[in-house]
Amino acid sequence: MRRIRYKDLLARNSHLSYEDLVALVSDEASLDAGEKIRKHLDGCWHCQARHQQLKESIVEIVQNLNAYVGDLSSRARIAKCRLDQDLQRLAVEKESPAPFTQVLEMLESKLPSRYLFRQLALVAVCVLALLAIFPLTSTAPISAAELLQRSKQAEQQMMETVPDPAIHGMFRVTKKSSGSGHEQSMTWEIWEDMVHNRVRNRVESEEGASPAEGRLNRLAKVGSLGTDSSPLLTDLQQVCLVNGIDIAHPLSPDGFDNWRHSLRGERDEVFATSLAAGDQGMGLRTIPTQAPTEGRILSAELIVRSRDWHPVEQRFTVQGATATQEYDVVETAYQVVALESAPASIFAEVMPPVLPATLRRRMPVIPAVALPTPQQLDEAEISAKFALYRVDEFLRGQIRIAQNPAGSVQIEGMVETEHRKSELTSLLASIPYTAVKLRTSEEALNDLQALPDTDSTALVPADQPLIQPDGEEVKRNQAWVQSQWNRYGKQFQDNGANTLDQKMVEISNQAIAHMRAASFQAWALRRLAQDYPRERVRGMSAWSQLLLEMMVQDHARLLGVEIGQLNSMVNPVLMSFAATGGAQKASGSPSPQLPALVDDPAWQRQVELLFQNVDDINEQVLGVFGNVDLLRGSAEDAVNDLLRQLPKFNGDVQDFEQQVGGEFMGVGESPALKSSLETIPK
Amino acid sequence: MDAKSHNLILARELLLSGGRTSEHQLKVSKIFELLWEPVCRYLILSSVGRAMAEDLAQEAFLRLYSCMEKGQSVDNVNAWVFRVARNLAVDYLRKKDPLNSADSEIMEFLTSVLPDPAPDAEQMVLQGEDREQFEASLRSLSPQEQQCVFLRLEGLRYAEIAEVLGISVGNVSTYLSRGIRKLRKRS
Repeated sequence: MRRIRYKDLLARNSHLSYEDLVALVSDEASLDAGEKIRKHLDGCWHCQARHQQLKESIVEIVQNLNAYVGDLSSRARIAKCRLDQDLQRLAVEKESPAPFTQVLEMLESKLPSRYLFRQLALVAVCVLALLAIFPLTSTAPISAAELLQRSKQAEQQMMETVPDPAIHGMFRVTKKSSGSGHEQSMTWEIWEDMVHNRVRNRVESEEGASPAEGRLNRLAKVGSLGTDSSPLLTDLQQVCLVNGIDIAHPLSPDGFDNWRHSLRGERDEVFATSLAAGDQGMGLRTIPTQAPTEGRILSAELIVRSRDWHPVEQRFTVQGATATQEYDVVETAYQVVALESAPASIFAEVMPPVLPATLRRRMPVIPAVALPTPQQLDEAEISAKFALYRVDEFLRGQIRIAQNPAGSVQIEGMVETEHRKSELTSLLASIPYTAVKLRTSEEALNDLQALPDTDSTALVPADQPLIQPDGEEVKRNQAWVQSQWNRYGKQFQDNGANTLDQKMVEISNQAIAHMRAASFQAWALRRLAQDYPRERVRGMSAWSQLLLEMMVQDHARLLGVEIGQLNSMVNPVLMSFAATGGAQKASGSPSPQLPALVDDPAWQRQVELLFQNVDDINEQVLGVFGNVDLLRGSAEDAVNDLLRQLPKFNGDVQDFEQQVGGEFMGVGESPALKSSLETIPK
Repeated sequence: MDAKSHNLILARELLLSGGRTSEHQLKVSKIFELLWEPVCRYLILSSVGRAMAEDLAQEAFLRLYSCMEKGQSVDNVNAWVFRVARNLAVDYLRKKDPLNSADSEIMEFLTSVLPDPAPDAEQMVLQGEDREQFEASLRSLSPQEQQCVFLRLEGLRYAEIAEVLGISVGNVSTYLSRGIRKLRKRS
C-alpha cells in the first residue's frame, strides 16, 4: 500500500522524458499520450523550458546538417534531366523488349508472386546444371563386359527352355563400301541343330535371282560354309576369319567377345538406342586402339534388345585395301524350336553323333579359325625362345623367332646337322601357334649357291674407309705387351715344360674364351631387352613373364660368372704390367669410362648399359691379349682400365640381378607355374 | 520539416493515383522532384560520396518506375524509395569495403569514414572548427541513431523510419531521442 502511494507520488512529481518531448516536437505522440504531455507542460515550467530548448536544438541540428550537405537544388535540375532521359530509354525498351525478356515477363506475370518465379527459376537452373553434369544419355547403365555376359546368359537360357533344340535365324546382311558407295545385301537363313552340332544355311541375294544353298557341318569342316555362289557371304566369312568371329553365329555375343579379347587395346562405349520394332535397345561400341591393318575391324557395334538381352544387330567397319567397308547384320527372325519340329529336309542326311546335353551350347569355331590373342602369341614366342635356350641354341643366334601378321610365331634359322634339325623341330612342335622352318648348313649353302654371284667388295662403301689405327701405334702396343710379358711373365710360368711364350698364349686364349662367352651372354640379354620392352612385358601372361625372368636372370648370372673368372685369371698379370710403370699413361689419350648403371626401374635400360660395358671390356681384352688393334688409347691404358673395370663390373651385374628380381617380383611364386616349368622339354 | 512532410504526402498521393506507362513516367518525375533532394541528402550523410549519392538516388527512382511498370504495389512510396536507397548504399559500401560486410559494421563504417574522403570543396559550407566539431558529434552517434536522425531530418514519420530500417516504432523513438540528445550536448 505504501509502495503504491509512493509510485503515485513519483508519477505526479516526475517530469516528461526526453523521448516524450522529442515525440511531441516530432508530432509523433499518440492522442492520449499527447494530451497528457500537453497537460504536464501547461503546469510544469521546467518541462516547458526543456521543450523550448529541444526545439531550438533541433533547429540547430537541422541547420548544421543542411550546411554540411550543402545546397542540392542546382544538382537536382541536372539529376532531373538524367532521370527523364533514363525514363525515356526504359519506355523505349518497354515498347520493344528482347524476346527472352518478354518470356520472362510473361512468366512472371502469370505467377502470383515474384518470389515464386525466382524460386522456380532457381530450380530450373539447378536441374539444367545437374543435367549438364550427369547427362541422361551418356551414362552407361552397365559395363561392356556386363552387357555381353547378360546377352550370353540370355542366349543360354533360351536354349534350355526347349529339349533337343534347333535354332532358326534369319538375317539381313548389308555391305557398303566407303570408296565406291556400292551397296550389296542379302538375306541369310541359318538352321542350327544343337543336338548333333550341325549348321545349315541358305542365302538369297537381294535380287532374289538364284538362291544359293550351302551346308555347314561343324564336325566335318569347321568354319566353311560352302557359299561360293554368294560373294557377299564370302566377304563376310573372310572378315570373320581374320577377326576371329564365328561365321556360323554372326550375331553372337560370344563371337563379339572373342574378337574384343583378341585386341591389344580397345575403347568400349555402352549406349541406349531405339530399335526398329519400337523396342528399347542397348548397344556396345568397341573401337580397337591399335593401328588398323587390312582386313581388321576398325569399329564394331553389337545391339541387344533391352527387355531380354537378345542380340538383334551387329555392325562393323572393316579396313580394306583402299577404302573401308561397312557390314550390317540385322536379325529379322529368330526362334528356338524342338529339332523334331524342324523341317525334315533341312538336316536330311546321316546323323552325326549326338552331343551330350551339357555340351549343347553354342561352341564357337574359334579354336580352328580364330587368330590367337597377342598374349597367346607372346607366350608361344617366349616359350620357343626358352626351349631353344634350354638346349643352348638361343645363344648361337642362328635361329630367328618372330611373330608374323598372320597370327603365328615364325621360327627360322640354320642348324648344323640333319639330326639337330629334326631334334629341334620335334622340340618346337609342341608349342602352339609356331611355324618352324629350319635348314641345315648344307641346305643353306646350296641355297646360297643357287643365288646369283654378288661382288663382295660392294658390301663396303668406297667412300667409307675402315677405321684402322695407325700402324706404328699397333706395333708399339703389341711390342709393349710382349716386352712386359718377357720381363714379368716368368712368375706365371708353371713347372711344366711350357715356354714363356706358350704360357702367354695359354693365358690369352683363356681370357679371350671367357670374354667371348661373356659377350654371348650380354648379347642374349640385349636381344631379350630389345624384344621385350617394358610395355610389352606388362601385357604378357604370368607364364610368359616367368620364362622371361628365368632367361634374363640366367644370362645375367652367367655373364657375371664369365667376367668374374676372367678377372681372377688376368688380374695378376695385369697388376704386374701396371706395377712396372704401365700405370702412367703412355699415349696421353683419355681413358674410356664405363657408363655407370643409371637408377632406372626398367631392366631393359640397364641391359643396354651392361652391353656397352661388356663391349668396351671386350675391346680392351682383345687389345691386350689378342693382338687386336685398339681403336683408342694404348695398351697401357687398356691394362689400367681393365684393372679398374673388371671388379666393378661384377658388382653391377649383381645389382642388375636384384633389380630384375624386383621387377618380376611375385611372378614365379605360383606353385602351379613352378611345376609347369618341369614340363618344358629339355 | 513541414515543407518536407508536405512533399512526402504529395508523393504518396501521386503514386496512389494509378495510370499507364506515360503516366508512370510523369508520376515518377513528380515524385523525383519531391523526394530527390531528401534522398540524395540522406545518402550523402550516409557517406557514399556526393557523386555516388546522386547515382544511387537516380537508381532508386528508376527502380520505382520499373516497379510501377510491373504493376507491383507500393504502399508507402517515401519509405519504399528511402529503403531502396539505403539498400543500394549498403551494397555499394559493402563492395567498396568487403571486410565490413555486416549491416552493423557498415553503419560503423559510415560513422568512421565521415566526412566524405573526397568532398567537393565548393559545396562544403562548414569550415574549420565548426565542421570538425559537427563531425565529431555525428561520430558519437551509433549507426542506428544516425540513421534515425537523418531520416527524421528528411521528414519521414516514425513508422516510415521503422519500415526503412526494419525496426520497431518504439526503437525508432528511442534511437531518435538518444541521437538528438547526443548531438545537442555536443553542440
